[in-house]
Amino acid sequence: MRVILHVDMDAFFASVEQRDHPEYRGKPVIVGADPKGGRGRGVVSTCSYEARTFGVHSAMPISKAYKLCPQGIYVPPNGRLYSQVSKEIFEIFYEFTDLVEPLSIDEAFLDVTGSQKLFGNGPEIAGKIKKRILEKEHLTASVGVAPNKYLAKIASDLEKPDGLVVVSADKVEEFLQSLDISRLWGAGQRTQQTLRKLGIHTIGDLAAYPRDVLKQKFGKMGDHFYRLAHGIDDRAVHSAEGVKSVSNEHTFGSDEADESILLQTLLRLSEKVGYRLRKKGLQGKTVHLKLRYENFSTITRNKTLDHYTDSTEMLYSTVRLLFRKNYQKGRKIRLLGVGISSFGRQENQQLTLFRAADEQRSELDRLQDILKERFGKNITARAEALAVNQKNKKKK
Amino acid sequence: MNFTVTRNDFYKTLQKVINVIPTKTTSEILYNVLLLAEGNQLKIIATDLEITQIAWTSCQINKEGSVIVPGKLLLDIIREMPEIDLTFEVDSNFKILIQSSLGEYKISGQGKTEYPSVPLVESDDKLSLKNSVLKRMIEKTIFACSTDNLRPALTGVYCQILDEEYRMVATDGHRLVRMITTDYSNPGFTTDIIVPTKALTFVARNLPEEGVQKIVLSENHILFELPGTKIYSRLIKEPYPDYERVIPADYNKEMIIDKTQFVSSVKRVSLFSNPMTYQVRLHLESTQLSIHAQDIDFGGEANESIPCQYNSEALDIAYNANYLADILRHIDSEKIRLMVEDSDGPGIIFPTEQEEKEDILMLIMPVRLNN
Repeated sequence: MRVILHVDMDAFFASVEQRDHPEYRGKPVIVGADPKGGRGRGVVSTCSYEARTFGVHSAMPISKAYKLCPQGIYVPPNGRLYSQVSKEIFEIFYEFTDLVEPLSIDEAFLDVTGSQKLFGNGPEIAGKIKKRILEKEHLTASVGVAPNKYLAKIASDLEKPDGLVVVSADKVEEFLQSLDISRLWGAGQRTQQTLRKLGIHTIGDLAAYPRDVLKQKFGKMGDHFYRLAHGIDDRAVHSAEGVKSVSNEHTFGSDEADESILLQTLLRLSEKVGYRLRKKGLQGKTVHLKLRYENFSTITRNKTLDHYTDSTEMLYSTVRLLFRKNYQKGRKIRLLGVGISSFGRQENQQLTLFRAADEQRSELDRLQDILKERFGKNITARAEALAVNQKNKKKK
Repeated sequence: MNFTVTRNDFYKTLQKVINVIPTKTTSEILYNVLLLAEGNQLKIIATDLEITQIAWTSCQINKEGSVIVPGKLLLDIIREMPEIDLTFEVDSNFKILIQSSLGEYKISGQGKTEYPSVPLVESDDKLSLKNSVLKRMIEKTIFACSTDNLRPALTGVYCQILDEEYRMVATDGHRLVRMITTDYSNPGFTTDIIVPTKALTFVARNLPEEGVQKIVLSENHILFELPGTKIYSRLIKEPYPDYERVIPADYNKEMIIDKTQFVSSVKRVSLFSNPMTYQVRLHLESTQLSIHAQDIDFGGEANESIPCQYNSEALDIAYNANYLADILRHIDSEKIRLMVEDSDGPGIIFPTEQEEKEDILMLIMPVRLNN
């Protein structure tokens, strides 16, 4: 089961202005176009919660806002400042996971499924992120924690500002039951009207409709609505860099044909890739080996596993197999590379018989990761992988 | 080299070994078979380096000698011949001339020096097993072996030669079969070995129904001496996982159910399961088993219920339908007994009645239910 966070800054631009101008605090601050005494032509970008009590909201014509709240503090947007603050906030997200999908300058999805071993469960991570943002930026954020993006997004909006709403996997239908259909992703005013005419006012009402009926009424969107009404959304969190693969390479100081050294190098590379994978909260299915001989002839081979993995042991045993199958014994090697791609997550996990052994290994990975986090990347290595270091040092 | 053989004798002998030739290999020489004319026998040998098979037929040897020939090509040529005498003549450059009453054919061969040698399996460790017992044990176990060479030990069948019984165990980590026979007499030693699945497939194919099979074991090889053929295989020298540890000793929850109904129901329902996971969900109740599958992405869904006897509170458990059907197919009794503890633990399946001198246990791991 995935754990997705939707983090949404509260009234972001207005909050930044209030933070930097203590005299604005507790007052209606409206960031946007110049109202020009009610004749301004732009729109409201963001407004503080104080302004919202007057009925002002973002995207509203500035002239209308001026009518509702003439006493408001009207501030022109300071884009450069906001992006700087935004950057700092995103840095906090990346402390917890690399799977961060920015939706805009002030909100993002985070997949923290793989980060739980290091930072605690979803709600705990959400709490830590909120705390970090408050300490570092003196700003508040609202966070939704849920098994998918759609639910997380709804959840973050429910208790704004400074909210933290958790939707657990077994309470999805209950959570959606009483929500108004305006919360439905992709349902515009027209669709909402059509739904209401059918007597569908809440997502719970919608969930009671069979998929076929919804398909008839709404075509392709019917299917979409059916899934949303049941809280189904399997879209992945796409990180900004769009990570497709994780890999590490090593070029030997002098070309190497000693198989034990080559294997130790593969283990060290597997450790590095495994660590990065776990830090990013990624699991991959296709393991790659890159092998360059001294004459620069290069081969790449890969093997697709029957399950997703982030385990160093699994990576290593797979590249070792590829290596043994493809390495022409005795030939000197210039470069070795280990990589993994085809990221995803096992939904229905086929359980395995010899699990205890696998769990011990992932426990080892976890311990090593924690040590690396705390003391730096070179603090630990598997004994086999260390041997190569010793040997290299001797050479020097 | 020169010999005369009837088409049928030659074809049958060649056919025995032809499947040993690997379909894909970096070593071109392995696409060949070795023909060996000695005494009054023609021997044909094929190998993939792991398995070597020799088959022979008696024929008229005019001049002893040897040659290697592309195996599939030779099989294609002989297949098209009617049942007539064929004379093979090989010159010193390994050009082969085949003569028959229909005409003459020429193909090129090579000297045998290049060809891998047949492993020498000399050992006093000999084991005898009834052909019928061995065949049955192979058929009931190999389906559960792994095809993934990431864990080489699991790509073979683990054979234990014990004092009172002979065991074969196969597992891919998701399911496991343990078959024990006491229809055997200890050969004077105990040991355990892992035999590659491919070798056992060939053995089963060549085993007659009657008689006793002699098996020779050396440090690294196993040799099966079969009528008209010998199969040598390298043993898998890897530690086998401690399978006994994962078979729970006692269970409280037990279901007894008609096997045929169960298999048909699982097969039907699984057609509606997600084609990636083949997950079917079983709901066990005291007198009824419900089987359910759903494919959320394509909207397919199926539910069936069949009578059963179950002795505990209701339980939901999900399996990969293919694994489940595979196991059920290999059980002969009319009814089966399924024993489980919880939704995450192994399920153990027995026939309700074991055959004489035989003990079969099958184990299947579930798919974790998401909620």
